[in-house]
Amino acid sequence: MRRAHVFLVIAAAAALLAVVGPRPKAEAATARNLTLLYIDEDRFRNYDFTDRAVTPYGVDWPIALVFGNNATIDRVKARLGNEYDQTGGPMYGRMTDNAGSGGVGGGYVWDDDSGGKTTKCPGAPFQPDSARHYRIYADGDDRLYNLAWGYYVFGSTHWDRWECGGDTAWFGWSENAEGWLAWRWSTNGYSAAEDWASFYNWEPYRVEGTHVWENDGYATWFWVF
Amino acid sequence: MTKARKRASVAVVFAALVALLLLRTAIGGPDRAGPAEPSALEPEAATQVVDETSLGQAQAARALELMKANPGFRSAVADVQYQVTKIGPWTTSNGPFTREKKPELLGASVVVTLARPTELHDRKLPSAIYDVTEKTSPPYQEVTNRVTARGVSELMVLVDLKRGKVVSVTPGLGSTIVNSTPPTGFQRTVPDLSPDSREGG
Repeated sequence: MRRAHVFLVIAAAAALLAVVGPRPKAEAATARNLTLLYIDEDRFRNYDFTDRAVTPYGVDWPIALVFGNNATIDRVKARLGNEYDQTGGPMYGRMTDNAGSGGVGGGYVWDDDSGGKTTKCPGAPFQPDSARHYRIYADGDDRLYNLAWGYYVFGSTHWDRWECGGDTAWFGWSENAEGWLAWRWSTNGYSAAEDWASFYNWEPYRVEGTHVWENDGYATWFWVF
Repeated sequence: MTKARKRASVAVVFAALVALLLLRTAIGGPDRAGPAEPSALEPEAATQVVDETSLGQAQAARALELMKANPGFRSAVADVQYQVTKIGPWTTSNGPFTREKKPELLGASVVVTLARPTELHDRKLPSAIYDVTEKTSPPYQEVTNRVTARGVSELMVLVDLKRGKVVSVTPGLGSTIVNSTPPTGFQRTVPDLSPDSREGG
């Protein structure tokens, strides 16, 4: 009888965590190479942020993903939904689809995204201890456009370990997570060019609080048809 | 088939191939590499970080020395051969805020790759529960857990150089922790799941 009660309590806690998930908000980290990237008339930051503020002291992860040719936020998420079927907390991307003459004009906007995640609450009872997580960003119509890349969205990815208990929580290994995302995209029948272009955001191996940095500075291109 | 017809057929096939290649270039194809790369603007002064947290050679050597002598680490690698594959600084973070703050060097983080994946059965390993509010010094709570893990091919080791101590030995990415139990009576003082303490899911 007692065992049954204990089991019920654990099951209820697990169900609650699975529904509610980890609480939002973040530990901000420090970018070594924050800058503005440009392609044709478009501009975007090469890291995402924990709040709507452009500062090297408030970043989450390096931008390492571009889904292009004919992408929208929803189309990309649908194509990764067979594994990345959970969501997390929101982070923020900074961009403009038309920087105007000389590239110094306005039009900059923020987009928030909770992304797609392989496990809602890693480390919770009966859940895997780790999850892979990506976030993608675009402006108001959920896609950006230029002649070189067509319709595209950009984003970041990382691992979450023991986020909901089980051991000390760690986050990061974005280079490794990028490779896994390219693998999933390819096994889903689509094409990707891994480490296709420099995004000027190389981060050597280091641990900042619970943030495990490692990024080769090259982003992966994902073809969307 | 006359020679003239043969030539015409070859020409048609050749033209078709060229057209296909041009079309593929125009619309993309499954094996095509990515398109044009972006460029970076000159970074603005406001986005530049002064790096005062690098790990010197002497510090790295000291960290490795401490790691090799640590009973928890020795117990985790047991008789398996290993290589140090990464070593970098372990610093404070910026907490949950976006205001300017300089990270401070705590010590070293070392990644050790084992010659073969191994299992850990009920090993006593040190762990540092990091307090992202960083209100205490050091900003973590120490605990020795009894760890059982499968598929361990890497270990992540944190060495606090100020204290001259290995404070965490954790099975690396790709391993599965079956159990990690603190000692009886252990009380966590680091805030757990405070609204700002997690990465954000």
